[in-house]
Amino acid sequence: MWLAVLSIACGLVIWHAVCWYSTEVHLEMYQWLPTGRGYLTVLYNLGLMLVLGVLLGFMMIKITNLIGNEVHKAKHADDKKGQN
Amino acid sequence: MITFPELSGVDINILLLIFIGFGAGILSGFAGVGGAFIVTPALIILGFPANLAVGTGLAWVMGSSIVGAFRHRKLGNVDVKLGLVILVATMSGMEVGVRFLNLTRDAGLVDEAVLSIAVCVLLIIGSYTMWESITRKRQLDRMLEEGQELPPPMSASSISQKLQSISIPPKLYFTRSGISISLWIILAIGFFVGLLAGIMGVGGGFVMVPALVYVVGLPSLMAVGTDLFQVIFVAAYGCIRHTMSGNVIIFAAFIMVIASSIGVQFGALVTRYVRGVSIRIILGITILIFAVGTILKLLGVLLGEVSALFDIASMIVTFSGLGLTLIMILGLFIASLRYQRGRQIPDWVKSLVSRTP
Repeated sequence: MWLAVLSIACGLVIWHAVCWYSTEVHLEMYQWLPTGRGYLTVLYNLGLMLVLGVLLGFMMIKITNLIGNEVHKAKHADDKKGQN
Repeated sequence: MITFPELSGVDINILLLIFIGFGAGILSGFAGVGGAFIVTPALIILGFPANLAVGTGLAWVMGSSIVGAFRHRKLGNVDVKLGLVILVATMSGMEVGVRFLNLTRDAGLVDEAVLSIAVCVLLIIGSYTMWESITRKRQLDRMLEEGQELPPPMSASSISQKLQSISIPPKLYFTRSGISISLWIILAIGFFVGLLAGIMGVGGGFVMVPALVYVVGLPSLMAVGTDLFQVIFVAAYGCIRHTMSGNVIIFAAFIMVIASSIGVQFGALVTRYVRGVSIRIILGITILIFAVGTILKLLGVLLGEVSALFDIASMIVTFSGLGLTLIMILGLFIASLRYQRGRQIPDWVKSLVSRTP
């Protein structure tokens, strides 16, 4: 279920980026930089990387779990302490 | 082929862009380095001007590190408290480094200063990492020959034990890593790494991981995860600054993040199949390859007339270094799978891989 939701969300982000690239909205935003609207480009770039990173991060964990390569927590100091 | 209007119509091969993202993602997930030091020269080879390559590389590091940090967080390899404390110092050091860079630029010595510092730091860190990890590997080989069980991951080094015994208040206890160390020592390490990162124009992961392992005394995997976590913020800061200067082509970074998200998973997955010493050996080799590339670049600056030749040689060394590192990581993964299934692998590889994932 989660994987489907994340895949759709990732697909939408990719579609959005490709769409804005092909319609040259990215170029228009790049040209805003020396103007007063430059902060929007900065926020957009940061937001895009953040959203993409978070979605892909979650999605990849779900995919690796799905293909039977589950992520198991490694034991570190606080885990060992808890066992004692 | 894909055309970026920001590059004045230069055509870029999209498959090469994907390969760079994928390859650097594997290295990032495996060794905890941001990967900007590989991606930036690779983008320059593809035809990006240097300033756009640096900015786009940092935007990519931000997205890619988020993906890697998620994986390592799930694996339990991120000490958030330690990462946040180090981050404060790293950012301050980075700001000082950038200001120092501007000063040397005004004095007309920027290339000589930056490259000389970079060469010294890389050679010292790379050589020490290689020396320590090879010594450790020999020790493990000897234990295997004598039929002894291999020990758990390396305990704290003598440097880190001495530093942890210094009791300048306030002393912080990091529950996840199980270390207790003075706040001032953490701040000093973070500041130093940030300073170098600012001067050299990179995220600083390849300095931070050895510092966390050898100086702070973190296990290798914990150092990798914690570094990736703090690199997110360092790269975000760099991304803001470079976007403001018009140095980021966001769609190129976007494509590379998607490619690297697959590479990062593979790199992080391989860390479960190898011993910490393998991560340190590969990190050491990567740092030394980068040092050779930087020496060539420095020679180009000093000799002036033939600088173009040295620039090309430097890029070839750095780029082929990425290929070599990927082959080594893949080789270790295959050897580990064979070892776990009870198949024969060379004796010298046994101490590098883990018997259980």
